[in-house]
Formats: sequence, structure tokens, C-alpha cells
Amino acid sequence: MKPSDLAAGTVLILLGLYTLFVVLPAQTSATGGIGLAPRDLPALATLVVIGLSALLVVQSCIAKLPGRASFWPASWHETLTMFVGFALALAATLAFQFVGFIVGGAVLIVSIMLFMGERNWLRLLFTPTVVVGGMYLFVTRLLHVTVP
Amino acid sequence: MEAVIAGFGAALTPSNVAFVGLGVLLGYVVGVLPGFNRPTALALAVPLTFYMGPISGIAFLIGISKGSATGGAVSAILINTPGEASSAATCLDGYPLARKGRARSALLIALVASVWGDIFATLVLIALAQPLSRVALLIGPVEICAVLFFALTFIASLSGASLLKGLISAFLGILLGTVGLDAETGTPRLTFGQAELFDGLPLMVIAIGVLALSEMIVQMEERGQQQGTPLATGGDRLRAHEIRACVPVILRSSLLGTVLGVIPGLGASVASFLAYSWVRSTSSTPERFGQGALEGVAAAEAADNAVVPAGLIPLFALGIPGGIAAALIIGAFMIHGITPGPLMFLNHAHVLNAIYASMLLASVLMFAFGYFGSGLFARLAQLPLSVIVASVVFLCIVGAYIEGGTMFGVYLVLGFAVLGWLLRKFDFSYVTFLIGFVLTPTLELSLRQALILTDRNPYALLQHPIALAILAVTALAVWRMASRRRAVTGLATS
Repeated sequence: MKPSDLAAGTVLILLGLYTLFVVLPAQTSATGGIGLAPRDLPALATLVVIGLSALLVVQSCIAKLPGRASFWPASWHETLTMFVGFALALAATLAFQFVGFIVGGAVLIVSIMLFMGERNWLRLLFTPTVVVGGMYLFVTRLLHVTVP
Repeated sequence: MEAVIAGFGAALTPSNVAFVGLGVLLGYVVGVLPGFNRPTALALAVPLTFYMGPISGIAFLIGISKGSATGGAVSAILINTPGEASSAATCLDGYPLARKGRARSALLIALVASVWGDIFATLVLIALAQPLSRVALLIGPVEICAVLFFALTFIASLSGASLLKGLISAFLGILLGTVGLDAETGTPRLTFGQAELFDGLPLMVIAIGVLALSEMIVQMEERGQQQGTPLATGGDRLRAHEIRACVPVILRSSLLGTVLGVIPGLGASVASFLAYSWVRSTSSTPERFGQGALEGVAAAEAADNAVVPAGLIPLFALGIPGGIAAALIIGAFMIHGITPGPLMFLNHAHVLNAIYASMLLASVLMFAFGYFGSGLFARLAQLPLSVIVASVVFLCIVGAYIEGGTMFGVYLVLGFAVLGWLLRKFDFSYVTFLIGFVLTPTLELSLRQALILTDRNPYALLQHPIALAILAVTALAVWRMASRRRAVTGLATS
């Protein structure tokens, strides 16, 4: 078993307990309904998650841990890529909302391509033009959806 | 019989033929492009079906599923990179064949095997789904509840690195599936005062985030890498003795793929590798496999493609998705007010017949596109990963916006992309997470009815021997798989 399982199990137990004792009482009703109250299924699912996570933690503790394994399963490169990817998508979403579909989309595509090492200016120009332009026409003319 | 003819009539309208064709073509492109997979494409395509009729919408999605299963062979054979994970077995003999200058033969046999496997499994679906649904109608909520637990446990044990993690994912999915107004009392659950959540978390938003966007973020890790250069497709021809050798292989592998496709959670990758191993182990010349044996390509492709229609059997007959594609197709059914399951054969028989006809039409179109478009698809396989990833991320954001028409869904997608990334990295099954989420309304309804029927008395289960048998099989399956896993882990450690 990997140390990352120990970390995941512990976090899930803590989140499960928080859900069970704080979130569910505030966000669901314990009464009403025949057979099942509105709170019953989410509470049951949370209890099962806590129980299985506890088993995962026990399993991780009993098993021999590999010497060089880490509690965080992703490498530095993978974690950085996730943060950059998420930041680019978030920035594009904000641009999409406040600047508009075409500019937001073009900025997103070009920035991801540059991040992935693309330096061919023809591709950098052609890809956003075709994809954003095509999708704009498809969404607004064919589906009649209003875009920002 | 009249209903079947009417179904063909509805399926052969110009608009439906166009949508099926578009679906197959898009599926082909998705299959050919390494890094862009079937679940991603389906997650992005489901919101579009809102603007189509039910028959066209479902047929469009099934076209994508079928096309991608076939298209995956092109990049597997030409650049040794499977467009779909399930085409990995095709690389084993497809690429050596291409290196020997036999790319054209490998592509042709892959296409024929794919189309035959697909047609065979579609016919089995048509023959089996309705009789199975009649049996399903005879069982009550206690039994349905037991079947759902069996399906979830089975999928959890097969689709991830660990049964425990698979089950945790499934119950996390169920927890998120309870968000929204309670179906019986109408009181809000876990909505945090957001009116947008009263209808629950949209399946498509979760699918786009967990499947598509998180997959693209993982693909970004491969930055700086370019696809290989495809080998030429011209030149050789298939010989009669090679075709004769492949025919029994295609028939056996189609049958194997169909049987494995019906079992929830196994998926196309298992089927294609099993079929490949089966054919190699029963061959009189097993040493040819891995060096460029056409039978290897035929076995992998026939089984891979048979899984797609066969995976719809539990969905159509019982309302239980056997895999990620079926779970996403449920979303399209729901958009059009159709609940997959045994009642669908009573309430929406005309839609089903038209879907069956569309599936057969898709098989014919698959052959046509594959036969005449192999040169074009070979060029597509050269597209740089940066172009694919950037375009798909943009499509994810547009798809989330189209689904709800507001930015709320887009922000939810970003959140679920991070969750999807964490699930992948920590080796939790996102497949069971999504299936748990999809099954929640059915599970809650049947659990509620079962509790009322049994008056919360566990001994009342004794009056439901079928449910007891299913629960016993579930426990036995869990025990068997856990002990097998322990044995495998022990072997790996030693």
C-alpha cells in the first residue's frame, strides 16, 4: 500500500466527519419522508466513506511502506502543471465572462499551446482562429445560444 | 414487426442519418487522435444532444462511441500510439505489420474486424435487451436495490487499483448525487442556498470536469512531445489464406467481446487484451504474435468494438450503466425525459427501435468512413498534442456553458477538474465515482421502497430469496477478488 493512501484515507475521514457533524445537520432535514428522511442517504454514504477510509488507513499502516514513496502521489512537475492548467482555465473563464467568448477563447488556446512548448506561429494563429471561430458560429448560429 | 419497420423509418430520415454520420465521423477523429479519448468526447457531446431529437441525440452519441472504438486502431497501427486505451492490444501486431510495409492490410483487417464485432454485438443487444427487461419488470425494489449494490461493488472491484478505493469513489459519487431537492419531500439538500443546485449537480458538468478537463490537465504534462510520423498506408494487398485465417478469429473474439461487454465494469481494454491472449494461446504458431500477425489485430479489434453495443445491454434492460460511456448516455436519455430501464420498452418502444436501426446504420457508416478515409485519418494522427489539448480545454468550457446557459456550470467544471485530477493521482476510480453519482436517484428510490416493504426489518429479507442470492453473490465476488488481488500483490512484492 502506498503512503499516499494513508494521506488520502486520513483526509477523507476528516472531511467525512466534518460533513457528518457540521454540513449535513446544517444542510439537510432529518425528518419527513416515508421510508427515508432527506438526510438518511447522504448520511449513510458519508458513514460508508468514513468506514472504508478508516480501513484504507489501517491497510496502509499494516502494509510495508516502500522506502522512497511519498505522501503526495504527484511529482513536482505534475503538480505545477495542474496549477498552471487550472490557472489558465480559470483566467480564460474570467476572460470569457468579462471580455467575451472570442477573446477569452483565443487567449486560452494560445496560452495553453505556448505552455506546452508550441512555437510554430502558423499553428498559434491558425488553431484559435479555426476552433474559436468555428465554435462561435456553431453555438450562436446553429444552437442559438447567447454567449458573453 | 411494424414497430421495427417504424423504427427504421424514423432512423433513416435525412437529419438522423446526418447526425449518425457526424457522430461516427467525430468518433473516428477522436479515436485517431492520441490524447483525446471516448469519455472526453462523449462528455463534451452530451450537452449538444439537448438541441437534437431523442433518436438523433442518442444515435449521435452511440455513433461517437462506435467510431472512436474503430478509429483507435489507425494511430495504433500507424504510429504505435493507441488513440484509445482499448486499442493498445492492436499496437502489438499492428505496428510491426506497418513497419513491414503491410499497414494497408492491417488497417483493412482491423476495420473489417471492428465492423463485424460491432454488428454482432448490436444484434445480440437487439435480441437480448427486451427479454431481459421483461425479467427485470418481475423483480421488486428489494431485488433492484440488491442488483444496484452488486453492480456498484463489481464495477468498483474491477475498475481501479483497489476495491476499497473503488467503493469509496462510488459512495463519494452517491453523496454528491444527493445534492438538490429531495425527490419526496422537496426540501433542499446540500445546496448551500444556491438556487442553481436545486435540480442537483448536472451530470454533464461533473463529467466534463472529472473526465475531460482533468484528463487534458494530465495530458499537459506531456508538453514538448510531438506525435510520431505515421508510416505509409499504400502498397500491399490481403491474401485469401490470410482472410481465411482471420475469419474464425473475428467470430470468436466478437463473441468474447460481447460476453465481457455485458459484465459491468470490465470495459473494452480487458476484452481486447483477453481476446488477443486467447487467439495467441490457441494458435499453432504463437511465435508470430508480436511480430506482425494479422490475427492479433483482428482479435483485438473485434473484441474492442463488440464491447460498445454489448455494454448497452444492462443499461437498456436494467437501467444500470456498465461503464463510463453508458453512464454518459444516461445523461442524454434524461435530457429527453426518458429513463433507461425495463419500462423504456413499454413507454418508448418506438425510440428504442429507431436507436437500434441507427446503431446498425452507424456500423455501415463506420465501414464507409474507415475504408475511404484511412489516408485522411492517417494525416490527422500527426496533429501535435498542444493543438489537441488547447482545443479540448476550450471545448470543455464552452460545453459547460452550453449545458446550463450560465457561468455557474463553468466554475463548477473547474472545481470538478481538480477533483478529477486528485482522483487520478491518488488512484481512485473516477469511473465508479461517476457511476455512483448516476445511480443515486434509482438507488434512493429503490432503497426507500425496500425499507417500506421490509418495514426496516432485516429478517424480512428472507422473503426475498433473489435479493439474498444477489447479495450473497456480491459478497462472494468481493471475497474472491480481494483474495486474488492479495495473491497478485504478494507475487509482485516477492
